[in-house]
Amino acid sequence: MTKQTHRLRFTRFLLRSTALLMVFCLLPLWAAPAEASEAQATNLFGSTLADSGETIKSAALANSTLYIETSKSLYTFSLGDQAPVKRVNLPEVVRVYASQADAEGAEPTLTGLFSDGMVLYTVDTFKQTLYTISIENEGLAFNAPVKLDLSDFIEGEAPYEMMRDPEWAAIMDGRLYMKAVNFEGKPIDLYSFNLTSGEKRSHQAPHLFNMVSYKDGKALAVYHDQMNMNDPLTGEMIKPELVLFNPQDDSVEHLGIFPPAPENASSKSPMYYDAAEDSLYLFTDTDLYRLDASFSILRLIGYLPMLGSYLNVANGGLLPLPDGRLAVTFGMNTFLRERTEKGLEGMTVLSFGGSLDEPVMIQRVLMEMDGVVMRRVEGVDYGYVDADTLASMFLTNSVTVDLMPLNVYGFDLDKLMQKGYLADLSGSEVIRNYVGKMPSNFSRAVQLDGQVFAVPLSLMTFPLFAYVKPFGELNLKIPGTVKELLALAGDWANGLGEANPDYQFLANETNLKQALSRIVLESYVNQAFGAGEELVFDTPLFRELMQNVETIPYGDMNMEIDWSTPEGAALGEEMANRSALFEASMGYEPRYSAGMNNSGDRQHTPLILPPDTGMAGYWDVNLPMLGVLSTSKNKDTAIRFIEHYIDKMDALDKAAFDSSQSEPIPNPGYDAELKRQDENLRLLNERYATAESALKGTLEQDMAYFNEYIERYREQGKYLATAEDVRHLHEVVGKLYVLVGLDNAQRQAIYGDSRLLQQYLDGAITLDQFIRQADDKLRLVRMEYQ
Amino acid sequence: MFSKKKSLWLFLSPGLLGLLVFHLVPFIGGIYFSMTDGTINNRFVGFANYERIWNNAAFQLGLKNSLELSLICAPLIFILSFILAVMLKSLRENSLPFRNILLMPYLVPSSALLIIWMVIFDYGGVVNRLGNAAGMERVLWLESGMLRVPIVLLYIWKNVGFSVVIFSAALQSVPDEYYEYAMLEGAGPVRQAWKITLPLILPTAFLVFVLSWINAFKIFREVYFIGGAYPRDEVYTLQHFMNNRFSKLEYQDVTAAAYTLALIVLALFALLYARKGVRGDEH
Repeated sequence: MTKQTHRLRFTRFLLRSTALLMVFCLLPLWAAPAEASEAQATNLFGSTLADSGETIKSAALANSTLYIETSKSLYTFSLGDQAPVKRVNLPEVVRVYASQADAEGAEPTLTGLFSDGMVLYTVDTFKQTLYTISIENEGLAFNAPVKLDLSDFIEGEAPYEMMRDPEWAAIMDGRLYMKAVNFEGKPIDLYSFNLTSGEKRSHQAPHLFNMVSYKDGKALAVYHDQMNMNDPLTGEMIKPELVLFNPQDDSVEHLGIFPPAPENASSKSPMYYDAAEDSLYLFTDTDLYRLDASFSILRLIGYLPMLGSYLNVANGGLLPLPDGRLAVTFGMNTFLRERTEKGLEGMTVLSFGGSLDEPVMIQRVLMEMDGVVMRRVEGVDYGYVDADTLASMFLTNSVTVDLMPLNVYGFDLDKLMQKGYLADLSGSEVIRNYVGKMPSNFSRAVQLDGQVFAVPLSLMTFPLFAYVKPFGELNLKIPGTVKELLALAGDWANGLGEANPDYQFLANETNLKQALSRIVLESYVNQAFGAGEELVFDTPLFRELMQNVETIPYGDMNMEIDWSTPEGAALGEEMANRSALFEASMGYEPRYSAGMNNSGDRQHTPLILPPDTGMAGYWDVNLPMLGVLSTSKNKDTAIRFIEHYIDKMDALDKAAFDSSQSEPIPNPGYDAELKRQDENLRLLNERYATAESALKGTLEQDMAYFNEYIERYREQGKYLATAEDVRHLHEVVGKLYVLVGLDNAQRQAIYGDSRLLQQYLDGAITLDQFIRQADDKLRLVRMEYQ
Repeated sequence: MFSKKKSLWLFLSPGLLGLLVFHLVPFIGGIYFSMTDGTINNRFVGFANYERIWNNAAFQLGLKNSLELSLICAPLIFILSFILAVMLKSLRENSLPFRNILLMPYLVPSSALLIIWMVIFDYGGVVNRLGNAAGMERVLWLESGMLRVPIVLLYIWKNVGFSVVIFSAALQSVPDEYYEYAMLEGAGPVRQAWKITLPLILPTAFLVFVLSWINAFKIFREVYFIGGAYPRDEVYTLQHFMNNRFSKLEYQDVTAAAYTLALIVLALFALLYARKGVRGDEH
C-alpha cells in the first residue's frame, strides 16, 4: 500500500468523521423543531384572563378555527397556534333597557357566538337581530341581518324592561335554538328560528339545556327543572337527566341516565355528540367523560384543573377540534383534551383535603400549572377532611391527601407539626421569604425549630367594630378600653340614646346586656391568651366588668322584636334605619375591611379593646392555611402550588402578612373603572337627550348618582390602600394572636360548652356559679396538659 | 377422611380466625401502639406513655371517678334488677307487659332520654319543683357536684331492664317445689331469695354483675351530653380523658389509658373469679 493511498484513506476517514460529527451536531437542531411540533398547547390562556378579570362568554368553531369571545376581546385559535390570537378588541357595551326605540340607532354588537360549522353568527339581543360575522381590519363586520322576535326574552315593565340573555343557544339543522330563563314554571321556554328568514317556533318542551344534534333529526339535551331541583320526599338534589328531544313534535324521551355532574348540580355540562363514534362527551369541574355504546359505558378520559368552578359557558363549551381533540371552555380558560384515556397520562393529580373557600384562587393557580390537576380526596363526604378524619387516616396508614387546608380552630397545629404529619416547607425560598416577612405572632404559629410547616393565606377575625361617621356626628370619643365602652353604654342608657333617636348603640342586637357580656368575656379571654397569662375568671377585674354590665339600666335597649306582627316589623325596620355606633357581628378580612373597601358612610374600624387602661388589647385570629402532608407523594408539586398561590394572593391580604410593606397599594382597576363609568354616563346623557319628559326625571336621578360615584371614585379609588391604610392594617394585625395548644383547648372548653355561658346570660346561674364552673373547666384542661 | 380432632379444628377455624383477626391482633397491636411516641414514625418508647399518664392528675381523677361510679352503679343495678325479677316472677304470665316497660329505656337512645332527664332535673324542673313544694331548697342538679345523682339514676333507669330480663330467664329454671317446701318450713320471701333463688342462679347473677360493672365503667355519653368535654370534677370520667386526648391527637395516651383500664378491670374480675363459690359447678 503506497503512502499516497494511506493519505487518501486518512483523508476519507477524516472527511467521514467530520461529516458524522456534523450530523451529530445537527441532531439537536433537528430534534428541537420536532419536539416543538409535538408539544401541543393544552391550556390556552393560562391564568391571564382570570388575573385581569376577563371572562369567556362563548366559543364557536367555524372553518376549523376556534373563536373565543371574552368580555373584552375576540380570539381565534387554529391548529399550529401555540396560544390564542387576539383579533378584535370588543367595546364595552352598557345597555340599560331593552327599548326598541333605543336599539334601532345602536351599532350591532357581539353578544354570543354560534356556528353551523362553516359560518359564524351572533345574535344582538338588544337589536333582536341575527348576523353573520367576520373579522375585517381588526374589527368585526356584521352582515346579513335577520330580524328575530325575542319578545319572550324581555322581562319587566316599561321603562325598566330588560332583555335577558338566553340560558343557552345553539345552531342545529339550520335553526337557531334559544332557551329563555324559566324560574316561573312556564310551559314554554325553548324557541327556534330559521337562520335565513327568522321564522320563529315555540317548542313545548321546557327545562332542556345544552342541546346537541343526535340521530334521526333528534337532539340530545339535559333535562333540569330549576323550579323543582329537590326531591320532595328525600330533599336530595335531583340530578340533571339526559333526554332525547324531537323538534318535529316537541316530544321528550327521558333516558334515565344521569351523567356525572359537579357538586353544584345546577351547573350543567355542555355536551358534544360524535355520531361516527356514537360517543357523547361531557365534563365536570375536574373530569372529562365519554359515554359510549348508547351511553351505557362511562369512561374518564381527562382531568380539568377547575375544582369548584361553575360550568357557565353554555354556548360552545365543548367543541371538537380538527386534530381530534376537544376544546373544553370554562369562564376563565379553554383546555384542549384528548378523546381517550391517553389524556390521563402524565398528569399529576393533587389530592385536596378540604375546603379553602377560595375556588377561583385555586383555579387561577392551577391554570398556571399545566399537567397538574386537583381533586378532592375520595372516600370522604364532600371531600372535606376534618381533624378526626385526618387522625383516622394517619392511624390506618390510608392518607391520600397531598394538600391540606388547615385552620386554627379545627386543627391543633402544634400537634400536627410535632407529630410529623406536616411536611417541612422551608426548602422553598418563596415560602421561606413569605413567612419570614410575617409578624412574629403569625410566623411563630406555623414554625417548629425554625422549619415552616404551614402557610397562612388569609386572615379572619371577629372583633367589635365602631362606625366612624356617627362618632364624628355625635362628637363622641371612640372607647379605648372595655371599661370605657361600658361607661358609654351606661351613658347611652341614661339619656344619651334618648337624646339621639336616629342612632342606636349596637347594630343587629336585640339584647344589649347579652351582647355586652359576650364582648367583656371575649376581651377578657383574649387579653389573657394574647399576653401569655393564665386564664382565670375569679379576679376582681372580671367581676368588676361583669358587674358594670349588670348595672346598666337597659330599658328599651333590650328589645325582642317580633317580626311576625306588623308593629314588630315596623319597629325592626325603624331600628335597622338608625345609624349604629358599634357592630359586633362582622368579620375583619384585610381585602374587604381595609383601605378603599372600607370607606364612606359605612367606614368602620376594628376595636381590639383591652379590658382596662394599662393593658394591651388582643384578639384571636383564624388563619386559613395550606400545608402539605408529610406522606404526600407529590410534595414538590404541592409546594409549587403554594408558591403560585402566594404569588396570586390578594394585595391587601398579602400586605397584612408583610411587615416590611409600607408603600401604598395602587388600584390596578382604577383607570378601567373610570373609563367604564364615564362611558355609562355618556350613554345616559345620550339617552337623556332623546328621552320623553316622563322618563327624564328618573334619568336625572341616575345621572346624579353616577356623577357622585365617579367623583368619589376619582378621589378615593386610586389606591387599594394608602400608606396610612397599610400602617393601620399592620397596627390591627399586631394585636392579633393565634391560638395553639393549651390556649386553644382552654378556649374550646369555655366556648365549646355554650350551655354554661347561655345559662349565665339567661340568669339561670349566678356570676359566682359561672366563674366557678368556668375556672373548674380551665383547671381540668390544664390538668390534662400536664 | 378427617379425623375427629381435625374436624374439630375445621369447624372451629372460622370462629378462631375471627377471634384472631378482630380481637387478638388489634389487642396486641394496641399494646404496641401504646408504647410508641405517636408521631408519624411511631418510635418505641417503652412504658413512657404509661408513666406519663399515671402521673397525670386528670387521668387519676378520671380513673377514680370511673371506679367510683361503677362501684355505685353495678351493685345498685344488681340488687334492683334481682328484686324486680323476683317480683315479676310472682306475677307469672302477667309479668310480660311490666318486663317490656322496664326494657324500654334500654332501647331508647341516650340522647333522647337525656332530654327528658334534663327537663326533670333542670333548676326549674320537676324534681326541684316537688322539692320546693316540700319546703326544700332548689338544687343545681346539672351544674354542680350533684350531677352524679341524675347520672346514676339515669344509668340505672336505662340499664336495669336488661338485667331484669336476664335474671327473669334464670329464675324460670328454679323449680317451684323448692319454694313450696321452703314455705312449709316457714321461710319468708327474703329468706327464700337468699337461700334458694340466689344460690341456684349464681352463674347468671355473676354474669349480670360483670356486665353491669363493665357497662358502668363506660358511663360517658350521659355526662358528655350534659356537662360537655370538661364537666364538673365529680363526673369527669376516664372516657373524658381519653376523648379529649384523642381530639388533641394524643392517640398514644388514649391507648395507654385504655390498656390501664383494661388491666384494672381484668385484675378485679380475676379476683372475683378466684374467690371460692362463684363458679356455678360448685353448686
